[in-house]
Amino acid sequence: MKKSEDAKQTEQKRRIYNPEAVIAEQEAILNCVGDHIMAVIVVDKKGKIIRGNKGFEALTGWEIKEVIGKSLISVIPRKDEQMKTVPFKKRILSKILLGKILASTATVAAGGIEKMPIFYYIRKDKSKFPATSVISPMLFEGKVMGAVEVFYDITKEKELEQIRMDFLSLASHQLRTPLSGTKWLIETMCRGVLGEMTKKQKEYLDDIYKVNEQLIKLVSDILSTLRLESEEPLMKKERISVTSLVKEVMLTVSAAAKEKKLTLKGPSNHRTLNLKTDTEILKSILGTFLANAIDYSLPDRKVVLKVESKSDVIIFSVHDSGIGIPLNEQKRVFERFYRASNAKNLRPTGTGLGLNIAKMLSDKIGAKISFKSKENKGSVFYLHIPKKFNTTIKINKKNE
Amino acid sequence: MNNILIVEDEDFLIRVLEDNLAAEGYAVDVAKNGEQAVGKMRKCKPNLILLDILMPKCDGFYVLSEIKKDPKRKSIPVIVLSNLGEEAAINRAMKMGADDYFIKSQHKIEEVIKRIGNYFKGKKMPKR
Repeated sequence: MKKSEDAKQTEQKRRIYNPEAVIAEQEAILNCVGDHIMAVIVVDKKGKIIRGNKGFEALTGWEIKEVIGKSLISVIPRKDEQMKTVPFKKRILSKILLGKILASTATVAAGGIEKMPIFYYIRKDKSKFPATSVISPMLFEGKVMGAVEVFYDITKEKELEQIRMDFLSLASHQLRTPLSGTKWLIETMCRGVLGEMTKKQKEYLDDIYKVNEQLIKLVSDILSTLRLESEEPLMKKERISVTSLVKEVMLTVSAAAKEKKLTLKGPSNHRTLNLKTDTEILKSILGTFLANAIDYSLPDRKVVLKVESKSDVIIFSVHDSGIGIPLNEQKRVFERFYRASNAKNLRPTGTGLGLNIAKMLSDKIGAKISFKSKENKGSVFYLHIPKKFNTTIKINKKNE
Repeated sequence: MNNILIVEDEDFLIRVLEDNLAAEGYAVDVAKNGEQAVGKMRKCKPNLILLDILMPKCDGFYVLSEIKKDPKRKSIPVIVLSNLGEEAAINRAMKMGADDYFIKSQHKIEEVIKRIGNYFKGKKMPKR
């Protein structure tokens, strides 16, 4: 404690008696940070530029001495992804200087993956570059005295992203073509178009078909995960009634449930609930929950889908009395390719991507997944969708 | 006899489609790329077209636009059979006037054959 007090006093003295040295030091720090790649710019509480580094000059084409005292927002206009100029009031810097938000970060957590909000800055010569930035207020006794913005050019990252997407598209096509060919060739033989087969031949062909289907599912799941990681959250919000949503989802798995002689039960309450969310994503998540419940249940059991509406969330839950997840493996179920040991034994063909994808999807719609599970007893998977983001609720009083 | 034009560059897929369609009693013609497809269509008028998207020379989108440009042929049903699974590709084809879009690996050959049958049976029969 004593030592840090001493250090503070020494620093204060140095600032009073040797301000030039302190300024020189700050300049050096600014120029070191980011070199010519990262711009660092400091503004006062009115948003006027106080100082900046070489990186700012390199990226924007402005010399610091030209812009000192000018408003940073007018010196470097910002355009959004649709190339519309972001108005003064909507600039994060304005909001920070007004004390409306405390800090901006370049990365927002989406799906546990760091995403960059993309925008463009306009250079002195009117050309533009995609950038990402972090802005932090300078606070003194709780008041905003100014702010520091650090930004950099992400042209290279964007190019790499494009290459990645192109590769994905090509890979998906090139991998699917032979697999779909094999699929249709086997199906054609099984249809008897080419003549009858012996029972043994048919059995072999069935096995080849299963292996091929497994590969198709794997390719499709891998591509979905990769695609989900690289895409910006793409939301298509639409309103759908929970009843019809549940009906649709249950229909997609009813054949699988029947084949395993499982009883599939839907929600029994009669509330008229409406949801506003990306319904395809929601269906996909619930579909995964149900498919897992069916796959990991023993025959003749029950799989139940419930819907519960609370003050701030709607909770979908899928209950099974299947093999459950061993306690020591529960932490890992959302990991990519992870499959619990008992799941592998029961059903060797899973890809280990279902819950991983469901987790990423739920992050996209602002929902949360949780679960309870006991080995050999069963599992319950929950999807919590916050109402304030995605849902509007209308309760039909008659049915209450 | 109903005539179906298969536009596809993979030999094994051509064969599998040919065998299945012939078994159902359809007459089949084949074009191995977009250019050939456009040429064949100018000479004859199939009752239905099965169209792949990624092909050498001209792709399926080009073929589709050529079909829809031609007043005599624009009503021929076009079923896209592709492994391009992106929504953008699907939307593009449907907007251009494709009647169906099958991602090959996700559908059984039986489903495709059944759908083709529906075009000849039902209301989606091309106007002649």
